[in-house]
Amino acid sequence: MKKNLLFTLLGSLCLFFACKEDDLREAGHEHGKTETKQVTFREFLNSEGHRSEVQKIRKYFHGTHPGISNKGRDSLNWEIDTAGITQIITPEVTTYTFRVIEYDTISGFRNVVIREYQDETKAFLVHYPDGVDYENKTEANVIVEQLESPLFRAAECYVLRYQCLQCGMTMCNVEPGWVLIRSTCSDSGGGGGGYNPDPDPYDPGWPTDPGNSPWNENGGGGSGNGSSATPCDKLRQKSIDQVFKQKINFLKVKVNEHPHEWGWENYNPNEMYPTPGNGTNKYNTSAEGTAMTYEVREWGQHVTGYAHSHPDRPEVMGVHSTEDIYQFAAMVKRRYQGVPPGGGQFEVNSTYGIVVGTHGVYAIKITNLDNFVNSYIFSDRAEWDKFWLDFEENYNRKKPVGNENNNQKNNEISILKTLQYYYSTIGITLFRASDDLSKWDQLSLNEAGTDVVKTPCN
Amino acid sequence: MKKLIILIIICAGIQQGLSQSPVYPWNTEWDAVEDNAYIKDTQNQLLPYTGTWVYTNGNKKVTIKLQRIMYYYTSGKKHFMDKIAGRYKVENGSTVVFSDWDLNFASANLSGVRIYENKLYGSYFDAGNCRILSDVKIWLDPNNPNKMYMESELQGKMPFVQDEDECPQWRNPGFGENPTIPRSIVLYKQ
Repeated sequence: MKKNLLFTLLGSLCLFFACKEDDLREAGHEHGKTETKQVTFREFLNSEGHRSEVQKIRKYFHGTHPGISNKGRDSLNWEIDTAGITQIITPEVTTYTFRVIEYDTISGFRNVVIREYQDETKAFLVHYPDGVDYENKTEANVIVEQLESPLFRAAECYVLRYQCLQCGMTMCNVEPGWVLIRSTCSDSGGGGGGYNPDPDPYDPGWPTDPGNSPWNENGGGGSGNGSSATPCDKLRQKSIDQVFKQKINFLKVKVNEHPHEWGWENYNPNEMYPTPGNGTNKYNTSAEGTAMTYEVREWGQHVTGYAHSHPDRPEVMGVHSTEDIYQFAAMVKRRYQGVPPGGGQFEVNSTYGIVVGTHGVYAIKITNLDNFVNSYIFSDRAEWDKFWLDFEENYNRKKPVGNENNNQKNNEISILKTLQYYYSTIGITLFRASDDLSKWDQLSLNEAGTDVVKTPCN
Repeated sequence: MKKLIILIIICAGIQQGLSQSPVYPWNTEWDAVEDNAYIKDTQNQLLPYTGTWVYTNGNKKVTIKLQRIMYYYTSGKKHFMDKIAGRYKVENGSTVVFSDWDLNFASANLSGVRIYENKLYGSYFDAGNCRILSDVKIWLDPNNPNKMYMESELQGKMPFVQDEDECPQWRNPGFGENPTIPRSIVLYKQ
């Protein structure tokens, strides 16, 4: 039964240790009954808000919501992100997986999982201290702690493994997936060896990277494509996404090492049109451009972000070009106008366009979606053509020319002036990361337009 | 003589009418001026670039017509400015490969908006390649005002079209690597 629970809870395949013929049938059977979907916070509350366990953890929810309010950031160093909730339903178990917004730097990332099993609801804080490498799918440690438990319970440890979930004679019968395997906790708090083949009732569902973009958010009846998490929140989440940081650091090396641009896209395969794939928050491998531009290889409504290097050359600015800003706008437009598998609207707050240049790591994000939607998306063709022609010419006149002028301050001022000039049309704001990528600042101009003002996201 | 004086008065009157906007020198930044201001090429810095210029290489011929556009109306903060705008025709032998020669200059895809150290900086939306964008640098030979150099560098390969589906070829390998106007050319004034 415990194995059965694990199969169903994880919604997939057979475990490494359980690839026996009997279990194969069982897993395959349960696999067909598992439903995974994204729900809004309002839908979650309508369904589960009355439960005492949900009431007990209400202080952890981010922001203020009808009928439920948080305790405030003063007393918490983390909150539950109410955007992009993953619901997994099996015949026995229903789980809700939430991202966690961290206000202090932690290793890896955390989720909160609310689980209903045999008429009992429990909430767990699930910590992936090393993150989850969705790309290379290496094993990861998991630490699980029950929230608001009436009895003291020590944290319990697991190993997250990507493996065949339904084994045939020589190969997987269905696509592999993530499974949790109980392990002993080491002194360092992470999981170690000694796998216990018995799954535990506290299995925490799918890991949901906080940097991941939700696929089907309606924003709880709000603005549709927005979410309760601000652009700053979303960047903070990226700051604890280890895979993201590794990939940005890779580009940082390329800035000085290579005369060509390198870059990648961040995307959710399960949002692909017309045939959704498996997984979320994937990155393609960093690739070298053939010339001075990087090759865009992943494009569509499922793409939520891009990053590329600007090589350290005297004539290259270390911030976004018109082309980069346009690419970001096109990405947001695709998300805004796209339709997720299963209907609804995409969330766009998590979209980003990052340039890694000589003077830092810069992100552009939408901070006023209404401006973008009303003035950019719905402009007519002639207006649209003229907009980009004028945008480019305006930016061109502000760009520092000459090697001696190509410095951080001049570059930032030129892009900030341009974004400010067109803010009422595109609603885009510039952010800069700290050297170690742990913090982000929103950048703006002082009143005279002569200096850059930093407003910390943290 | 009287007719000449009357004509001068009329022309001055027309000019006065056009110049009701506050005028700023050409190097003034757009965001430093009020709505309805006019950023004018007061020193006629743009005029040496104007005219019809021709590049030839074997059978390939590129003819570029550069004009100074006055009172160009910009979107955004709503003001006017002077700039260089270009239309061009690309021929391969007797075949016209591309031409926007007959279209109006106000919406030209080739433009020059800034001069720095005797070089005119601008942009080039390649209409023959889904309007992908390049930075452009144009300068005159200091010893020969009828000889002009033009270099461009691609900013990226995203098509500047309202819907990228209009340009499916942009995902093909090699797209954008052969611009309609070659990257580095020398032109002579006609």
